[in-house]
Amino acid sequence: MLSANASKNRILDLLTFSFFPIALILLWFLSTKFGWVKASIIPAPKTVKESLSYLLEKNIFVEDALCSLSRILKGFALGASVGIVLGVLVGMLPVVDNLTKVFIALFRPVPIIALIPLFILWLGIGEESKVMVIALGTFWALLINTIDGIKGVDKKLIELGINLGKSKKEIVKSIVFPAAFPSIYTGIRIGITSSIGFVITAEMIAASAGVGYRIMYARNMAMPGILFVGIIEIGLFGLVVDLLVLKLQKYLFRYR
Amino acid sequence: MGTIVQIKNVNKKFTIDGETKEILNDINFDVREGEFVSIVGSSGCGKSTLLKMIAGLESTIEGEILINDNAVNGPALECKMAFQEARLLPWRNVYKNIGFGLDKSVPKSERDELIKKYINMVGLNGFENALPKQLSGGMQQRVSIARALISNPNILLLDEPFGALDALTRINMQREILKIWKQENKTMILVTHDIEEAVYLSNKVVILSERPGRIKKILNIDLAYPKIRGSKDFAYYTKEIYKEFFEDSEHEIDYAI
Ligand SMILES: Nc1ncnc2c1ncn2[C@@H]1O[C@H](COP(=O)(O)OP(=O)(O)O)[C@@H](O)[C@H]1O
Ligand SMILES: [Mg+2]
Repeated sequence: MLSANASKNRILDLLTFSFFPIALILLWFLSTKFGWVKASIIPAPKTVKESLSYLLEKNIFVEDALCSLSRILKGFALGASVGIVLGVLVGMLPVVDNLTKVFIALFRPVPIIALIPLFILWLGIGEESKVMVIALGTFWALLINTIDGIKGVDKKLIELGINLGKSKKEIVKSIVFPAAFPSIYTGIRIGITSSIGFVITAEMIAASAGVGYRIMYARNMAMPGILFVGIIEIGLFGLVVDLLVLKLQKYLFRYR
Repeated sequence: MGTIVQIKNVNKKFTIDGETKEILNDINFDVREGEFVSIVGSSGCGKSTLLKMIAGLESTIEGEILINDNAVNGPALECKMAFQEARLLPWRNVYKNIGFGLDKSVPKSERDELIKKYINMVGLNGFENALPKQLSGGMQQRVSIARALISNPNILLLDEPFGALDALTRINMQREILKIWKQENKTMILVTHDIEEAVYLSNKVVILSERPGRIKKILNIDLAYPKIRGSKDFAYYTKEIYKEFFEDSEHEIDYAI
């Protein structure tokens, strides 16, 4: 009885889970087939499919994706490492905490999008400006979450480490870092997710390749098929990244 | 046997939101080497604070605490503490939590054997790989006791270590603690709110008053081990302690022998 109920629940879960995507795709087919919307506003699935084949054939699809991805990875690696290192210093050393307080309070509220023109002015239209945008977004996410994580470590566990005669280094390694890790991981998650948004935005403003550039290009050329390929691509990429990050989170913090 | 711990004119105040509260007032007592001393008192009277001060974990104190004639001035490594809360590292399993009590200078070859010995002693065989969240409160406390014991400290500080244990496990753990105490000639200082437990385990009971904690009485328990819980002498001592707690109350002691 119990297992029958369980499998019934699973089927119900699957149905509710897939209801929205299926309905959306169905609506898309029907509305374009019967001309409910103009093809210049929402292209037919067939048009999108043709655009996709075109992009794949010319190898543009893969090149754009790799180009955007490499910017994300470079920017993320740079921003995350600087953010974590500075976050650890701020979290552990009151002097550094004091030194950086005004800096953080002043610059954190500035939207990163607003800085894109400045980065282009400083670093030109090449790779650097795009990488910097992503790096900065990731930096803030990791800085703030690392500080929170380290400051939030249970003082009682540190007291335990002291009683057990552990050195400062051992306490940091065996207590402070593991205890702060979930919060740092939250920063990583936010950093990765927002990186996707930042890379697209930066590429739409100034770039000669990448998914964001392609979308802007398609708009200028009035090619909604290509535009839609780009949007769907970003959505799917975000979905996969989020799933992987959540899976890893479940595994890493299974002790909770 | 010489004196190992001396507590001299100790006061302790905490300041919370600018308001200074007196927690412990004029505490004086000695602990001899190899002695089993219990501290009893109502909750909030500063028992945990007193143990932490002995372990050198409280920064500001008035008065003096000496261990082996040296003033405690920072963490006292002779003392290992089983804290009132188990304080396990949630990301480590039982085996690794107990192993955390060992100094890193202990060679790998000895570690495994020691850890297994103490897992066995606290009756957690088969739970080596369990995570703290998978353990009951009593099991967590046993891990914490094993972690304090494994480094073989001279002085063991036990802060209500059996509080979360069921009656049977509690009696077993009390026996184990006595066994370790006798075999390894350790000095033990135990905080408890269980008067029977204090009489059963200790040579000496320090009775603290309510806030601020002052010493009401120090009672030597002149009973030979193993003590017989139901005996007349045993009951005499428990009654002596009960009397201290209820002397201010109008109620007569309900506790009769
Ligand atoms: N770090 C601290 N800061 C401020 N007050 C504290 C601190 N630790 C303990 N206290 C206060 O000291 C009193 C005694 O605490 P504690 O020693 O834990 O009592 P007991 O163990 O006897 O129940 C309590 O009122 C508690 O709130
Ligand atoms: Mg306490």
